[in-house]
Amino acid sequence: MSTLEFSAAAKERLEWLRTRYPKEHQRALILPVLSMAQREFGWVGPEVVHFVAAQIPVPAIQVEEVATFYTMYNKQPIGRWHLQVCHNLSCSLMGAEIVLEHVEKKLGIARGETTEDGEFTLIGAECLGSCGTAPMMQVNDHYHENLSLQDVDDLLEKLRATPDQEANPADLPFGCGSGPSRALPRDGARLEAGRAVHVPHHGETPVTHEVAERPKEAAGQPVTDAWTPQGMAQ
Amino acid sequence: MSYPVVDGSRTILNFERGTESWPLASYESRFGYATAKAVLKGGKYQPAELLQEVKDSGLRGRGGAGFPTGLKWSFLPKDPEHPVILAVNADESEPGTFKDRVIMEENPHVLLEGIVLSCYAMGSNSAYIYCRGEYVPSLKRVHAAIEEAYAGGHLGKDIYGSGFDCDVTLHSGAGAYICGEETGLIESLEGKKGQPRIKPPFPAVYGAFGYPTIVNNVESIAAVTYIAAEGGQAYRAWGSDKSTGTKLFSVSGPVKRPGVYEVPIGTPFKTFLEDNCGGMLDGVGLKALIIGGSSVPVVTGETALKINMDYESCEEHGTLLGSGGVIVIGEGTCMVRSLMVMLRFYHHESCGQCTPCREGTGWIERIVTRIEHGDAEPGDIDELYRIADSMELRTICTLADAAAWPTKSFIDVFRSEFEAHIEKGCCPFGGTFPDHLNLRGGGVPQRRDDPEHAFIA
Ligand SMILES: Cc1cc2nc3c(=O)[nH]c(=O)nc-3n(C[C@H](O)[C@H](O)[C@H](O)COP(=O)(O)O)c2cc1C
Ligand code: SF4
Ligand code: FES
Repeated sequence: MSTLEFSAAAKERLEWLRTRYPKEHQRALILPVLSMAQREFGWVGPEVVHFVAAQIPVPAIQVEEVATFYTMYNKQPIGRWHLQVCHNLSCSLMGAEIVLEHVEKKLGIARGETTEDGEFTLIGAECLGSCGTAPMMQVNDHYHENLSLQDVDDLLEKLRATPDQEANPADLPFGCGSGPSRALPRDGARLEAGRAVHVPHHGETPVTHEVAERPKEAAGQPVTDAWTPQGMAQ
Repeated sequence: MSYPVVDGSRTILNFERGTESWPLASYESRFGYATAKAVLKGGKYQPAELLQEVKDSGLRGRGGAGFPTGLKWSFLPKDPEHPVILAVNADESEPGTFKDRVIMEENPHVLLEGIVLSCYAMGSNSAYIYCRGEYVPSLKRVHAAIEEAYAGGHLGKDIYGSGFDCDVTLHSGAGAYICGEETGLIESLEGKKGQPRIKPPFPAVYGAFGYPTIVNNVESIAAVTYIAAEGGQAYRAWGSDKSTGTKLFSVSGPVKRPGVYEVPIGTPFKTFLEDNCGGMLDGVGLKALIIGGSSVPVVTGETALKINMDYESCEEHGTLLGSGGVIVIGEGTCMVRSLMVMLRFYHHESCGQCTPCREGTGWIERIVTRIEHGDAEPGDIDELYRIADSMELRTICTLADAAAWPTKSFIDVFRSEFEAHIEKGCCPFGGTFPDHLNLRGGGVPQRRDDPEHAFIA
């Protein structure tokens, strides 16, 4: 049995969402509910997929399709801070590559990797709509624009010193109930309860495949075994 | 009081910069919702009359393709079996484009009023705003504006006692450029992978949930507010016969004041660059220009200075107005590297349904990458051109063309640079982009203290 449960606020939001799409087309809830689930649970593993499917309800394969298609769903746990440096053309023209290299050197990781302490995941992102304020970097929900290398250094310091609650705001500010990815709480607290989800520490490769038991609601639904996590794929 | 227009042409961004322009109270002080009231309650226009005004205005879709908005609406079936849906395209992911973001962050109610009026004209009672998921500030502002508008009686059932209902739902995407394509957007709205549909049937006949659907860009719908307030003819006061009205341009690259500007369509690029953008950064020459977002052909700096920023003039000079994402490229920039960066994007964003696109985008990216890295073979430029050429017009949506056009134009216009890479066996520009902001020297972006810079909240 799945032990996942939405918070009261998320439950309320879900009920409201049901009324916003035609009754016969509740499949439309997949994106908003997945986003909401990512906010609640940190990332989208197989268990979250089944949980979301059961909420709507739709076959789990439909949720899985969506979860793997869109880049904002993290298919494996990521660092506490998700650093996304845009390196599309406008940003590159104004020094994005310099910023990216600087962050890589500073954190000792390449783009696509997570630091050993689980603090930072770094990726090179495509245009984030901030081209006029390049170079820029999105950190969890926030855009940091017009960056100098000094700004980057200061920002990294500040992020390290910021407590978890601020890294992972639990509020659901949007009418659509959805928003961008947020990072996993460092201790994996919300995910732990009775489930075989492994939160990576110190350089371990993330393991996301060990689902102890499939939720009953979804039993019999096809789930491919090759559910490849590709959250950080470029 | 009549509809305020700031600086002679700002109808959508019609407020003072740096002020709290987004709350309902502020919008109401700018004639906000007066037009919706006059139309719905005061009977200023019947739906068909408002549709005619939009047609008369000559408004062309601001999402990229430039399709006449009024004409698109008139493709809706006359007595639809199902409810009509308006899907507002706020996916804005075209590299170089960030104008819709400014509308949503700075003046979200002008969009909502435009939605009410557009829905009225097309006989719809239900609109979805499909906003890209990364745009957190936009999502927050639009969400707050929707709540305010419902509370103020500007949205919902029986608006102003007129008997007209209009429901608006904000729907967030989750990171996929292809969901900006109108049928990709519809698929995504339905809760599926954002893979574009084969057309026909067109969305106006069979769209979201199988219902008749109109997909319009944020800026197109926001422009309807002015058109309904002052009439289609008034909108034509700006621009030319075929390109009417005002347009938002988002400017990036090494100019003094990048950001979003609303100017009369057809403004000469030279004037725009000097007056609005403050010219190029000191010591940087204008090498090339991509005027309509990364999918349109590139032109040289010399040609750029001859362009008037409208549909006809762009076409005359071998490019397209597109989404109005003006990417300014400075002297010292390697064009092969620029193309490489763009193709990485298109390869990443191909939805994979069509072979020419799925394989072609990767193939041309690999060729350009090896040219940039000095590993190319002599025939590579022609090979690249041939592949790009064979990707065009053979796919379900135009993403493949959006990758092919810039590729061909980069070769057409800057062929000698591609040749130099191959001859030298390395990138003549040292394999990097120029450091216009002197970041390597630890510099601070010289323009960020300029209050006019980057018209973004
Ligand atoms: C790959 C691709 C991406 C697109 N992205 C966007 C987008 O982000 N925003 C947008 O308004 N239109 C985008 N379009 C254009 C839409 O398909 C559609 O033409 C437009 O939203 C219609 O609105 P309009 O008539 O008001 O311009 C895109 C088209 C393609 C082929
Ligand atoms: S052209 Fe490319 S993006 Fe468009 S439908 Fe085909 S594969 Fe998908
Ligand atoms: S190119 Fe970086 S935000 Fe647009």
